[in-house]
Amino acid sequence: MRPEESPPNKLEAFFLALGGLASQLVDFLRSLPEVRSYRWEAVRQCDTFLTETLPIGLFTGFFAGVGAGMHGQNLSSLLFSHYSYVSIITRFGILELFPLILGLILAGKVGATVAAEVASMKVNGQLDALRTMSIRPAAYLGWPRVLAAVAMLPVVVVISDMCAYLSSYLMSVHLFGWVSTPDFLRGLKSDFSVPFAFVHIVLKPALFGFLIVFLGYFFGERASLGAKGVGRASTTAAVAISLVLVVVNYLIGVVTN
Amino acid sequence: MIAARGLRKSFGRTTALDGASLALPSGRVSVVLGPSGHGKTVLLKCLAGLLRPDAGCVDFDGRDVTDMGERELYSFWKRVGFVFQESALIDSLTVEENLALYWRVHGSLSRSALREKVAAVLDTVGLAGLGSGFPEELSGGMKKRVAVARALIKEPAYLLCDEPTSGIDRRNAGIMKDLLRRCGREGSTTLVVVTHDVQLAREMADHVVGLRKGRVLFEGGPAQLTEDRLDRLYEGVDNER
Repeated sequence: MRPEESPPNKLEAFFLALGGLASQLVDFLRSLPEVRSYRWEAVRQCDTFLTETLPIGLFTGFFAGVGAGMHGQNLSSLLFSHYSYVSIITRFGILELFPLILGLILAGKVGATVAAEVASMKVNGQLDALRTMSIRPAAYLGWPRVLAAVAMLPVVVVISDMCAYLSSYLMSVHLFGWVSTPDFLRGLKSDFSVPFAFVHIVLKPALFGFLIVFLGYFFGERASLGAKGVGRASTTAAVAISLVLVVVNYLIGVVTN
Repeated sequence: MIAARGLRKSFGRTTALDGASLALPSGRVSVVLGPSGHGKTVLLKCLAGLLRPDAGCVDFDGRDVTDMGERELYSFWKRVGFVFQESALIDSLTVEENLALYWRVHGSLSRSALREKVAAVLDTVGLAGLGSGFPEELSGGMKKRVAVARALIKEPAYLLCDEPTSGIDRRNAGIMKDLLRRCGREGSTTLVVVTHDVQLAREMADHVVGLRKGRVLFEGGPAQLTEDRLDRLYEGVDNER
């Protein structure tokens, strides 16, 4: 094997992947003006996204709320003020941490699915077929899914957050009774700030939605050929998206706090 | 006229095209013949601009495809229909949606006009009434016919077909040949067919190219298809590979 054909080491591969990511982002942005031609596909993807993720969001939200309520019961003898605990769990547990938990789940569900779908289309020549129809794969496959995720993930988070509040309320007030309804409501209201909530349940999920689908698409399009390539693309996408979401969540936390 | 000069393309240490040069006349049926694995598909993809050759150029009516930027390529592809060996139908769309996709994105046809157009093309390929099914519900031969329909619905100036009769039964192969023959006869479309099927070349070709080991072995009218040349084209393939 000639020296120029030797495979890149891990560091080189990492920087090559970063270069590929930047070039994919440029390609994505370049195809943005064409997205008008795919409005019908974006509407279809919104419907699919909501149908597939809302049940997961409600399920996760319900148990996040139940967990928080149960935790309060375990700690109630140590708590000097019950409403402060409600404030802490709703602000940091439900408002701030819950979108990350849901994002991590959707990295596996949506991100891996997008990666597998695009990778298998690449393997079967369907991406080339789109090109010969003068259709940019990023415009037809990428943007409608990205727009659906950006628009719908905040909706899923808001509804799931409400579900979490409700289950937490039922658990804390009615099942265990470690806090009264007025104290629970006081805890909800104290420290509540609209800008903070807006960032964490609207802006952050929208950014997560973009990252989940864009990175899923990126790993799908650079998949190597064959069934192994499809499998590797989806697992790599799920892991990489999860890591990116954790870091981005931290950075948002730094900025907003 | 489609002219390729000195096309070279390698994948790692495997050379698929080794200086292939050819000139395919406009408005005619050209058949590129050769054994499997000797660079026919790669050649067709280089001609279509789907693969960039390592060296050489591809001239489509005076425009070098290998030199086109991305925007120019997407505009060029509006004039080119491509039938893939594995059909490559979009499996999440129905047959009708596959056929309508091009016009839905690039055209301003009303829904009813588009529906009529799709029905007419489906009728042409002998699949009327099967538009609501998904590609996975079709046989291999039917998929190939839908792929031809998808390429034809664009009304392309050039139609490039990769092994249109391979892997399908005699009846479907016959239908496919008739279909391509009709496209070729109309004269407005330049048809390029890549195949290892000598019979298909004999029946359809106005112009033939013999490709072996990524090089053009012979080129010219159908009279070029002598037994001697075909022997040289296919001879010892099994021993070499």
